[in-house]
Amino acid sequence: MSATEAVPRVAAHAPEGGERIITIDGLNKWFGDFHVLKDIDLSVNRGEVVVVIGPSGSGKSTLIRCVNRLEEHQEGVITVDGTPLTDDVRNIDLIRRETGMVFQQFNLFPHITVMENITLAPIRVRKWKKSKAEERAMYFLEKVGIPEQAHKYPGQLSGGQQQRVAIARALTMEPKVMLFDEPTSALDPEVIGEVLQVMVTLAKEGMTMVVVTHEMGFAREVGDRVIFMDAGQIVEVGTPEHFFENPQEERTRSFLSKIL
Amino acid sequence: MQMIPSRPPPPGERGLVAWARRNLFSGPVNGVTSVVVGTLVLLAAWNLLGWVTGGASWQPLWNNLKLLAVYRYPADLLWRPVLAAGTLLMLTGLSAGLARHAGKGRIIGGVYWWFTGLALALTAIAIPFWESVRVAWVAASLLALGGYAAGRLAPGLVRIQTWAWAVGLPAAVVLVYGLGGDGPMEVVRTVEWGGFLLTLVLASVGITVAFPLGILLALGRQSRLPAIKGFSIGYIELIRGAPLITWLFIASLMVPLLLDVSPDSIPALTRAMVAVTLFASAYMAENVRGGLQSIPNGQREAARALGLSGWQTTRLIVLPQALRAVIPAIVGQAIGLFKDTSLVFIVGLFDFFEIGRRVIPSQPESLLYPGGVLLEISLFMAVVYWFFTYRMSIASRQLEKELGVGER
Amino acid sequence: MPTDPQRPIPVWRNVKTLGIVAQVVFVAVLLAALAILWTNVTSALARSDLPANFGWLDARAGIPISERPIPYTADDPYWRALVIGFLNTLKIALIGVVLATLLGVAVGVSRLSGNWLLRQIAGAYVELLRNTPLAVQIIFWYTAAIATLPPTISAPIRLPGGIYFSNKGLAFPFLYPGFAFQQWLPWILAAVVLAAVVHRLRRRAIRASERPGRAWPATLAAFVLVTGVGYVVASAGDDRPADLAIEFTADRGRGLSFLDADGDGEHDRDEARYGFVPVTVRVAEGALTARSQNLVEQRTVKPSVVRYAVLEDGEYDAVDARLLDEDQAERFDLHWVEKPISALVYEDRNGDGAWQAGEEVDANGEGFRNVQTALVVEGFRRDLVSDRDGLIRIPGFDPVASLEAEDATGGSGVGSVGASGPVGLFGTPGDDDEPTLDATVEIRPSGALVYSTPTVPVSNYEGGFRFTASYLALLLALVIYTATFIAEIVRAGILAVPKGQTEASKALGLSGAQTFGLVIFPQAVRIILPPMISQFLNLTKNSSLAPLAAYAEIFAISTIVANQTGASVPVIIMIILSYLVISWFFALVLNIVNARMAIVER
Repeated sequence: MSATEAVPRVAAHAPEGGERIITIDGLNKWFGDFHVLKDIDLSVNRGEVVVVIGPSGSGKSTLIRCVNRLEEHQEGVITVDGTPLTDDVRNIDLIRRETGMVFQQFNLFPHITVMENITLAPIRVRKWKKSKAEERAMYFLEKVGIPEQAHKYPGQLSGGQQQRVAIARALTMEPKVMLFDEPTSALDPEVIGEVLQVMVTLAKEGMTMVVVTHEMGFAREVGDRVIFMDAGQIVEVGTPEHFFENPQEERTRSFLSKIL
Repeated sequence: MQMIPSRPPPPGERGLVAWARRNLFSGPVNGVTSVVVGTLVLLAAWNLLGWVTGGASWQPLWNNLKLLAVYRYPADLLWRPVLAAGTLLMLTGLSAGLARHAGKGRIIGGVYWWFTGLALALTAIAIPFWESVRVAWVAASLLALGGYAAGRLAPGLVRIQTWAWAVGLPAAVVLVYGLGGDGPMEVVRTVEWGGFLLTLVLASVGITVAFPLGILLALGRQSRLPAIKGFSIGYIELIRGAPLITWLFIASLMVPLLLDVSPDSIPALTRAMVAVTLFASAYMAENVRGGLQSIPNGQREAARALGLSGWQTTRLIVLPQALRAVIPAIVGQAIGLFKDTSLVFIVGLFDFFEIGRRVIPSQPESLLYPGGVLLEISLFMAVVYWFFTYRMSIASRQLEKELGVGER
Repeated sequence: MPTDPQRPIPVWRNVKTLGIVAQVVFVAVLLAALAILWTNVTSALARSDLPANFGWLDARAGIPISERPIPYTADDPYWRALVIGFLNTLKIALIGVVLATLLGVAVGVSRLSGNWLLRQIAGAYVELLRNTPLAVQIIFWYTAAIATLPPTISAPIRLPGGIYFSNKGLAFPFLYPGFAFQQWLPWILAAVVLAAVVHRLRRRAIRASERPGRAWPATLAAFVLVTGVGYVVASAGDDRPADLAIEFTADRGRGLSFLDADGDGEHDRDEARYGFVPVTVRVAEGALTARSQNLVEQRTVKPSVVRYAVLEDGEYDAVDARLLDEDQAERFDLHWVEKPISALVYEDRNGDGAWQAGEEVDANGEGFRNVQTALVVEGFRRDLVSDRDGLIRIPGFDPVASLEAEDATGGSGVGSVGASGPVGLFGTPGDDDEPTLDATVEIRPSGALVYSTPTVPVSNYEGGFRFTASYLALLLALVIYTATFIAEIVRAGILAVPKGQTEASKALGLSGAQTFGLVIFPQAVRIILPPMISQFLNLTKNSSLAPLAAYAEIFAISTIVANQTGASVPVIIMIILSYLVISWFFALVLNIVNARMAIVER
């Protein structure tokens, strides 16, 4: 323990004065013996856009998957919108309801139509009437620009369209936070733009977003804060300007020099 | 520049001779193979034909067709199973008629026409020869054709389609079993059942009851709870470890012991059904597990991230996809089970196979033929089993194709 | 409402404990159900006083089994009968698997043949037989096909090389381990070791030469050489066990070879029987009188020909036949036919003392049935090999018939001999001073292997190796049925290798055979083997349909044992265990194959 104490912890806390919607304190996670997340302190304010970057295997995906309990952490406290993430089923359900998630592989349900994909959770979890769910679904489909695809099956859509459906599916649950897990990594280069465009719009409308991505342009344009992670810990935190113009840490500089 | 017009290929690339040269005589080895194999096949076919039309004694078989079909089911009530078959065909016809393109090229259409053809053929035989079921077969054929016609002419019936099945299936069961009393609907107890009727009952009950059990076992095997997982694995591997015939034998000895009742109080049919169902459920579980494993973990994660509960995720997201992926395997299993029902002789039931093997050869008239009539009977049984299993395997292949398009 | 993290979470809402609660409930329900069933079974068993333990295993089984890979008689205990059942399962499974693989691969490849006709026939074979229940196929082969072959008793089909084929099955010459087999074993082990060493050295040499080459010819040569030398050396001396003895019962024409532990010359129950002893029988004086059944064909109208045991030239000085029944002798006469040894029963209607055409049938043109006759062989000599139960049968003696004819042929004579030298004289004079059998019996050194040829004494084969009709029928059905599935696996496996692989190897200049052998086949095998092994398991499990062909494998014997002893629960446990052992074996093989076959991928 003494060795870890000696390393100064980099805390990625949101600016004071905002309404904290996610707080993570002293988060530690192991996969077997492998220590994936080390002493993570992080908070996010309502309306903030936090971009997490870092090399693959640095634990950034695991971090956001811990927030809605797709991964179970061993140490530390996670609170989402005032709800502590405990072992209580009720708390876990509550948090999942209030956080939307977009995956790298879209994970649309291939056996039901786009419309059914989107309205499934609102009807079953939020207990909305079907008519209301479909109305909201159409609203968000229009927002992501593909209302005409509502009655097709996911397999009939392009990758970019599928990811936009996935975003609409998450949004229709009216979550308080959106988590993006490398949303453009599985896409062909020419359709990345249409997905990013949707995300930029969303950010500008004030949605709270935590985005794990390799899209530095996106980070620079709409990110309020950028967090750089490596080997399971937070290495450096700052505004995009600070980050891309004047990074402090050697590891950050070397990472940025490789990908920019 | 002028376009070069297409010319026909050089001679010898088309026509029957060319086809034969390419496919039968493309080299010396091929040529010899073709001649030898062709001669053998022709010889075998000629001999078989000669035997079937001349040498074989079909009389005992023809006289005992009722035994093969239903065994001791009362002769004056035979119209009931025939009408039950008619009801099932009517429902299939309705669904086929309502399906896209009147079910052409689709499974439901294929199944309907295949079995309606069989029913019409039987009707044609019944009219001159089988007095007791003459009217029933005509009625069944009319029901079958009527169902299809209704589906074609009144597309609006699509709304009552589910209801029709929900009423029709139990009606068919009631027709076969009876309602009670002494009238035309008196109960025919299962000890009187036999022959092809029994084979069908065993196979359909087995596969229907095994289906939900198999799903539960497959889910249990994928569970992260060690006790449930361990039980499921133990059950599946134990049952699959020994052949069906041993389970039938075990059920016939153990079911009365396990329930601590006298052996006579449990009909052989019940014991056979217990064994067949428990056996089929273990294989069903393995089929379903294959489907479950083919579903990427991201599907489950996405559902959980949306707030669906574990059970909702399984029921709404995982199972529908998993089952769709393994329908061909399940049809394959149904074929296997249909063939395997021939083993119930071990518990003393008289199914189609046992009647062919034991009952008909021991009829006095069969004993008149030196060498017996088993050759004729086994050939006939093979043809009947084949007719049904081959139809199912066609359906399975069609399903694979139909499920392959669009949706995945 | 979010819960206060300070307050404890209720057990039923805690994801950590939820699973435990569910399992506790599940296990409790399961145990309760099992407990109820257990009490039911115990109380039902207690009431019915059926044996619930394994004590009956040592009791006399009394089940006759004609298929026995190890010595067995009906006097042996139940456990031995069950062991034979298990061995018989293995016997049909092993050979079935090999044959089904050969046939399946041939058909699977034929389905992809360039020859249209072959393709269609292979396809028809698969579609027809895969969709017909195995049970139907078994009864077809057993009762409809093999039963219609000629009966052993009158006219077995004789194939070159001493092979017989009839409705009793197929019998062919076979090599059995002799006295010197144990001396030969170390040589075989040494040969295996040497072959392995040679193989490795050859491989190294081939690698060093940097050219393609084959290691196996040298390996094979080394193995054959050492085993051959070993065979000669091991077989050289007199290798007979010192206490080997033969007990001979003359009236049944039957001897028994055994290890005479107490040296009293008689076989006691605890003295081991010794199978496959080569024995020479020589009739010293008098003649061997063999009773024969009247062999009028049962199903067709034929003259009353009586066929006797097959005797080869040089095995006898003279043969003749006579009528046994005095009443019948008054009415009938025998017309002797030298080749093949047989006689015609006739009624001397014109009293000329000789057979005239037409006298061999009655007024209706039918042969005379059930006329008792016997074959008299003078100077009979033959090398016999005792069977696997240590029994030595002199062909031509039908034990049952001889016992019935005791009055005519005299009492029984019993004697026995030691191992060395010419060994003895048997036989007792009958009422009319005519010895039934008066023979010397000699045990000779056997060598490491004993060559045993089948003979057809009366109604069944003796000697050699025999596939019974039951075995053949079940084997045929299992092989033909399983091969359809293997064919489909092979076809799919070959088709699964991408076409680009063929094109690439053609482009590299490999020939058609090289393309298949070096590129397509190694890849297809990886796809084919795992499902094929599960077909092997299926074949083994399907052998449990044996009762349909009256073949005595583990399930068939178990059902008989359960019926006889009433010990249903113990028998069921043993059936399940047997099949689980077999299933686990195949699972093990599958795992090994999967581990070795996995293509290295990143």
